Amino acid sequence: MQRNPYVPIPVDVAKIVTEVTTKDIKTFRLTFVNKEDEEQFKYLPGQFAELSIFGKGESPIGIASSPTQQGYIEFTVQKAGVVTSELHSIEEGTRMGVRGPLGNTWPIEYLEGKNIVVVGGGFAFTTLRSLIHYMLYEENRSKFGNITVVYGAREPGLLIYKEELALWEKRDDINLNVTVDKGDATWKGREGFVPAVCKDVAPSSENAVAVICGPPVMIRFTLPEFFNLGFSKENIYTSLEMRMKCGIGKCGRCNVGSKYVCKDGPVFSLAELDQLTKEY
Amino acid sequence: METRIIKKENLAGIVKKLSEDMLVYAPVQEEDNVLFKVLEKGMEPLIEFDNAKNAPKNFFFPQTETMMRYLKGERGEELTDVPEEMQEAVLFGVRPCDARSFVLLDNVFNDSKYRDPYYAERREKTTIVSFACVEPPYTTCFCTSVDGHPFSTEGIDISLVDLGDEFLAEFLTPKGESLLVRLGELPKADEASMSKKEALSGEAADKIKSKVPGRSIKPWLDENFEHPFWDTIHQSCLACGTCTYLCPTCHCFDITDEIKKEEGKRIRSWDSCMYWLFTMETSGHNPRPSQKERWRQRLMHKFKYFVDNFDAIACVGCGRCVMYCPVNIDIRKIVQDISKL
Amino acid sequence: MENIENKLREEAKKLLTEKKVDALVGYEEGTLPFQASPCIITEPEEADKLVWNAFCSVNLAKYVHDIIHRHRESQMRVKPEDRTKKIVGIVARGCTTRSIAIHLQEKQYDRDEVVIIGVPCTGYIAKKKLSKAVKGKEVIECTIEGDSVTAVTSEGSIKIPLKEVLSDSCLSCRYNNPVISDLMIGDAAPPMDPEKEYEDVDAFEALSEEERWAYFTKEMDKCIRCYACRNTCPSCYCKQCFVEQNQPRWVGVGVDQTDTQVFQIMRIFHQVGRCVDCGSCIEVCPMGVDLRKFLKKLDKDGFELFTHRAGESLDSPPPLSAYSLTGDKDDFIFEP
Ligand SMILES: Cc1cc2nc3c(=O)[nH]c(=O)nc-3n(C[C@H](O)[C@H](O)[C@H](O)COP(=O)(O)OP(=O)(O)OC[C@H]3O[C@@H](n4cnc5c(N)ncnc54)[C@H](O)[C@@H]3O)c2cc1C
Ligand code: SF4
Ligand code: SF4
Ligand code: SF4
Ligand code: SF4
Ligand code: FES
Repeated sequence: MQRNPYVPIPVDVAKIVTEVTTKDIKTFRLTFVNKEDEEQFKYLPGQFAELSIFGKGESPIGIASSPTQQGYIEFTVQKAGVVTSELHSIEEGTRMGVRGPLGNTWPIEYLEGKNIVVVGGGFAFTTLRSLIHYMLYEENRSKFGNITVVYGAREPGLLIYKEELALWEKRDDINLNVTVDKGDATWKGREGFVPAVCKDVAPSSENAVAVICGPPVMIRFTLPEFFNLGFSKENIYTSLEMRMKCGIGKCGRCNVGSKYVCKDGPVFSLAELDQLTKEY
Repeated sequence: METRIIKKENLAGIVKKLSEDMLVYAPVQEEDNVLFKVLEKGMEPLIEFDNAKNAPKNFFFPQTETMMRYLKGERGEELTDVPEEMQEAVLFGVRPCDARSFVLLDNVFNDSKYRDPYYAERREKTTIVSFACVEPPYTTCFCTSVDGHPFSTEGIDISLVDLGDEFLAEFLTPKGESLLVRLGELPKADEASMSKKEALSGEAADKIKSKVPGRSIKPWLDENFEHPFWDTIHQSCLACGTCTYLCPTCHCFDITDEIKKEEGKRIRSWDSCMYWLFTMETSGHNPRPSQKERWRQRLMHKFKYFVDNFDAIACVGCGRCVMYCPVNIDIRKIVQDISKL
Repeated sequence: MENIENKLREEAKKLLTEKKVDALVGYEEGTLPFQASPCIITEPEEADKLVWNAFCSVNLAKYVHDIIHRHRESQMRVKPEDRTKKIVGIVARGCTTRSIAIHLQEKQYDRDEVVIIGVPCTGYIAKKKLSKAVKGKEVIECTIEGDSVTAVTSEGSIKIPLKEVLSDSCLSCRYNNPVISDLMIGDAAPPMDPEKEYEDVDAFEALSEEERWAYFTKEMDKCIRCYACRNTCPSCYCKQCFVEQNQPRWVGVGVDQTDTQVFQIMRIFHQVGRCVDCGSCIEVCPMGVDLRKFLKKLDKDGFELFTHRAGESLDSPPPLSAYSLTGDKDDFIFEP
């Protein structure tokens, strides 16, 4: 018998990190209550899960950790409505639920053997972080070519995963470019918008794939830079967000053309998006 | 295939008797409405009726159902119960169009990757008994335009054909045959009854006058997601979703949580692409900002997306949306208009 | 009737040609034999499809409200000095004009944004009563001649007195001629039976509390929460209805009995002094829920307490939204 896909897997909140100065983005580390559940929860970067709080509901959230980080899964959540507000009010030790993994993944197999350019804006850096962790993992690193990352936020206090950024900064097998729209007194890094930084960093499109996530405006201005650099639509990937409920292609909510973003996505190449109706 | 003859005056009684030891869902008269309902003790189903206002899909996919229950525990709410078990049941008095809707819905709720246990359980445990449409009940019926037929047996376990004073009962599936023992002694049908049925079947199809080019608009839909035509159909739409709530093939739903005192439940309830909140995103962005996009979605889903995914039109031609739309927006006319573009 | 229809088309054409209106809301022939469907036209040629007959049922004022509000929203993206008004014409019978009066009183749009083509009204046919008259069979053909209606079903043709199938709201209508208009078509219609207005309510009031509750419960149990009643009602124009709010969530999403009752009670209570008894909510309800009794009860109370009738003129705002420093009996804090 298949397991009931609507029943959440019990997890405990092991750790909560407040990521930003405005305090409305937190990362939750969840550990599985049952060992079997942990073994069954096989995922790859790019997938999402429904976080469940009984009494409040569920929210689809991208998995921010990488399968190479064992023993837990992580989610970075912005406070928005009913469920996410409740999440923001809970404490470590709380029991909650997770349903997943859901959706498709970043095209890991396709990415292997290529140079990878990762572009993220704001807090939409979550599944990209998963991907970076995955690629930097010792046993995986050799499968990928150069890794270039451009990550931006409005101001320094809004950058998420600051400790990891600092660690990656020190490594020489990843070219990390962190930027803020506007710095402050303590900021020593880059200033400037993501599209401009991409132009400046100018990653080669030779044998390369770009993976881009961020607010719609950022994406709109970043894409032309990548076309200029010679990236084809087949070699640019992004992840869609739609309102979702079931996450398994039944409730009809995330229907775009003949596809369901929850089941057939959320990851699409620009070439695939061109085939879809513009209803996302 | 087993066949039997049931005297007309006996049928309601047989079903009533069945309902004493199993769950029977059947059409009954409720004030001005004919509705599918669970037959309670002593109730008899309607034998002569047109069709029910609510679609029989409600039995497999009710407007609201509990998916799981939970209680306050020490560290948070804890799951206590997942009501997915289901008893044997009979769904009686289904029209062939509505029976086809189950076959369509199976594609959605029982796909290879994710089986929806609530729907699938009920579906597996339920025997479907239909009335062939010897007299198609409404002028708005258009099953023959969407791959159906007034004598279609798709999705049916036992088909009843009105031969005048008696019904021919055909036990089409093993599930149907296994019900045979519970119906009491019934005479076998003879050749004459069978050939009478064949004749009636042909006549019935001819009686369906409403014609809709269901399949042939697909190429137009493929090409014309953007087209001024879409501005013309939704103008008077009230966004009430009646067309989707009463539709046998619509399957969109919402999942919400409810707590009363200590006890909570997660429920699913019908939702509709005709509602503005259906696709409203947290950012305030709505990919379907007006009724125009919502109507286009409804039509596209039925006549294109479903065809792309399952090679079937997600409309069985029952005519409910045509009859009960409060402002008479008629899907038949829309499809006809598209075919003329 | 035909005369009115011709005149109506003429006037509509003129308004559109002279660009006195940008859009016009009226009725067109439906695809079912007993339905006229609301339509919104923008081109003079389209005026010829307008109809006026006893099948024209739903109150069109809601469309005016929505068209103007959608337009205003779209204007938010335009520089203030370039913003335009959208003028909407409407074919309006008595109750429709009262709904417009309520919109105007409640400042939903300005008087110059709407052009009212007033039409006298002798009542519309209630679909549910027609269906009952033919014992639930499908009506295949339906014609009206003078005071009788001929309905054809698969079982033959029946002649029904028109009065038997007119909407209950129409039978006791007090304002079957427009209360405000920019132009009038046809002669004033003869009065209906307004003294019978509260007959139903009186009978209902005479029941015991248990009987009344039982009736209410029975009616509400039919409801499938499609909200067609709310969506067609000109007085239900909240941008987001409380039933759809989720922070906090006032009522559940499912068909829980109490949730449905709460929805209906709240909606009905919001109609005090604002329900014009157009009967649209009853007409559009796919399940045949009797909402009128409850609406009329509150309407009656509103009249007895405040001698106010909804939308009867532009000078009498709904009693629960008006405050007069000297006139109010109670002393309370007024928050606008
Ligand atoms: C694939 C995917 C991945 C995602 N990944 C992340 C992630 O990594 N991190 C993250 O923070 N977010 C992510 N999101 C977004 C996240 O799912 C939403 O922010 C979240 O679901 C909001 O849920 P909520 O219950 O807190 O808000 P809700 O209470 O559902 O409301 C949020 C908003 O929805 C609207 N709304 C919904 N229902 C109603 C109603 N009944 N009445 C009024 N308004 C309503 C309102 O605009 C409201 O502000 C992702 C979304 C998807 C689809
Ligand atoms: S779309 Fe209309 S006619 Fe087709 S199955 Fe649904 S309710 Fe019936
Ligand atoms: S039933 Fe009619 S008015 Fe209601 S949503 Fe459907 S098309 Fe619109
Ligand atoms: S129109 Fe009828 S069924 Fe729909 S919400 Fe109103 S009362 Fe309920
Ligand atoms: S409540 Fe019903 S009768 Fe009253 S104004 Fe609204 S739609 Fe008309
Ligand atoms: S979220 Fe239900 S179909 Fe995608």
